[in-house]
Amino acid sequence: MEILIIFFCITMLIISAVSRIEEYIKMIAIQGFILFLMSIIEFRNIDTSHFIIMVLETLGMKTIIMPMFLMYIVRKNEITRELQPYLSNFYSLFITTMIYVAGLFISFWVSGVAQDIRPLHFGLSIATILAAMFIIVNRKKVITHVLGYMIFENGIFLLSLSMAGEMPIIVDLGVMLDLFVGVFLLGIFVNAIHEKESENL
Amino acid sequence: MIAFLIIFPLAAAVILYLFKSDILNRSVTTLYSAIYLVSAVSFTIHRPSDMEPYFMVDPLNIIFILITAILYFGVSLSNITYFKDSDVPVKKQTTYYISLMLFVFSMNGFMLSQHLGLNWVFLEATTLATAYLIYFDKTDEALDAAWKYIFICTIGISFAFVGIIFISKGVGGSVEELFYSNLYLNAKSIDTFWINIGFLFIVLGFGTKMGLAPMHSWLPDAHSEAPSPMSAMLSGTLLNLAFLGILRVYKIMIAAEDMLFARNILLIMGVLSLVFSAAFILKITNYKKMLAYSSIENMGIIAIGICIGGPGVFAAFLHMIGHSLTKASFFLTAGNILHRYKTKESGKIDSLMHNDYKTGTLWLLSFVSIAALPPFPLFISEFIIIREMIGKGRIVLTVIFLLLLTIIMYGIARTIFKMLFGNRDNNPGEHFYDGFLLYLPQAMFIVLLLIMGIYIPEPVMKILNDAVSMIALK
Repeated sequence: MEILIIFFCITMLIISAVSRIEEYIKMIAIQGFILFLMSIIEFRNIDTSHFIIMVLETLGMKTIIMPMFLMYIVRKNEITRELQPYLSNFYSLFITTMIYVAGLFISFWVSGVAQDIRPLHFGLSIATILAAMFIIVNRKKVITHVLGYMIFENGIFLLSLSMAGEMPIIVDLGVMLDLFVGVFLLGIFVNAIHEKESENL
Repeated sequence: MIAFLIIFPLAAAVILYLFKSDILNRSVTTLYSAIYLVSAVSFTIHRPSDMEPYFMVDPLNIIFILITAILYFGVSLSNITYFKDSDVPVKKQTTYYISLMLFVFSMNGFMLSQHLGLNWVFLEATTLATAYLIYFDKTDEALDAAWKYIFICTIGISFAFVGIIFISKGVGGSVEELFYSNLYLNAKSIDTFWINIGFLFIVLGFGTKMGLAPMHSWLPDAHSEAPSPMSAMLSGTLLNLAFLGILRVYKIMIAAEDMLFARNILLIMGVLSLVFSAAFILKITNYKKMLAYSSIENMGIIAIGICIGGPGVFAAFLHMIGHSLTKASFFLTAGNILHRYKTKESGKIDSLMHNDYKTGTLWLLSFVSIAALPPFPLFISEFIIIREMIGKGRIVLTVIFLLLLTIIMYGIARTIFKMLFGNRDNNPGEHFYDGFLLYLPQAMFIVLLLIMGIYIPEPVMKILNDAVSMIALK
């Protein structure tokens, strides 16, 4: 179980260091798969309908459909060049690492304050949310903002996994967040087709 | 009745989509706004109970429903002639009306819902429904504004979601536990850690939609790029809605007797909003953007009013009503000016009073109201808030508050007066439509404001006091 969250953090570190959009999308797909594994281990006692929603959400949306659609948009518009970060990869790797160190401190702290949550998941999910915010503000291109938001969303999913005990309503509501991602992607897709202005994407 | 109000706009959206007829667009939306206004007034006498427990009219949301109904009615009137001499094709107009219907649907759902999760879903729906309205003009600026709007609000709504995770962690996480009535009942048993951190995230999230600093940066662009009737709706109703969401969660904090934290958060965000609008309003050259910054300022005042407590809560509600009506009147008049001069740059406009005294008068009266001069209700609300601040010995806060308000007022007044006065004849050169519906809604709002400012009628007073008693300390 703990090995999965460590893999998750490794994907985040890779994301902060790479500069090709394809790599980004692959990492996001891997994150989706890790979340899928976590959730089937975690939510074993959940009722069938929620289980189906969750499998569709993590395996279907996060791992397959969204990344494939993203790849399609990226290839179609040939936006494979640099991600144009404001800070260089070295600094962003450093900052992301620092955010994760802070996340570990949050884990230590929260394990003393609150009972019945998984401290490691809690701290690292907060760190993921912060790291995603950093990715969003550090990149110029619109498509990277959307990728950053997808990582943000994965962080939120991880956060809800860190809460022990089943919360079906959170799972249901969490699906709504994907609606936004869908709208973003459609927005980019439609505009790119219409205006042929992939320079700013 | 509630079911009808919620379902009608959805059904109307489908019908409008199928027929794409100009006359149907206008008549259906106006008809619905009239029905909505009548039902909102009838809710004050008789509370329907057909969709309990999910949707309900209670003393707190009735006040928001009333404001939305009045504003929506006025905006519908101005919508009748909005496309009169524009060359927007009917198909695009239909999309405008459909988005408006979906917008009203999601606002209704938000105001009436009694469940934290449901509330959140409807707030998300308002973002999606209004994004197209902001992008309506299809200029590069509009695209930027719409993108910024939807992206920042999405981040905000995701924050609110994180807050909901924390709060549901505190209460156990089943669907029933997230009804506000259950949250209020169980508030004391929730761990302080979860409720504080949950409140922080939810206020950040809903505060994004309310336009509170530091998450306000989408607001000036969005409100200035949207078509003017929609700016009026966005500024006059949507911001209030997010405020309702914050109040609902604030009440959990009251029930949990955990006030200090909640008040400090609201105070910080309120004062920051004033600081940001004071910093930017002086160099704004776009008069619609200036009005948007003034919305941020007023939302800040409302947040401060709530955290001052006591009569400050009453003042916050009064301020909200006054601000909604004033800002709607302001934006609709800005629409007239834009219609006449075809520019949003305040520097290119002068002698408004000389060339178009009707628009000029409305512009001036709206300014007098937003400047919180008597006999308008914003005077009363700001006066109460300041008196309360001094009464509670918060002298530093009072000084900062007054100073920032003065700067903002100077910024607005400078732009407004430069636009109003002068003797230059500047005819736009081409014929433009000039009907009474361009002026009636604003006049209606200003009359309502004057009534509220001079003497608040007994029934309105009762509604206000009931709402205040929902928020006041027990």
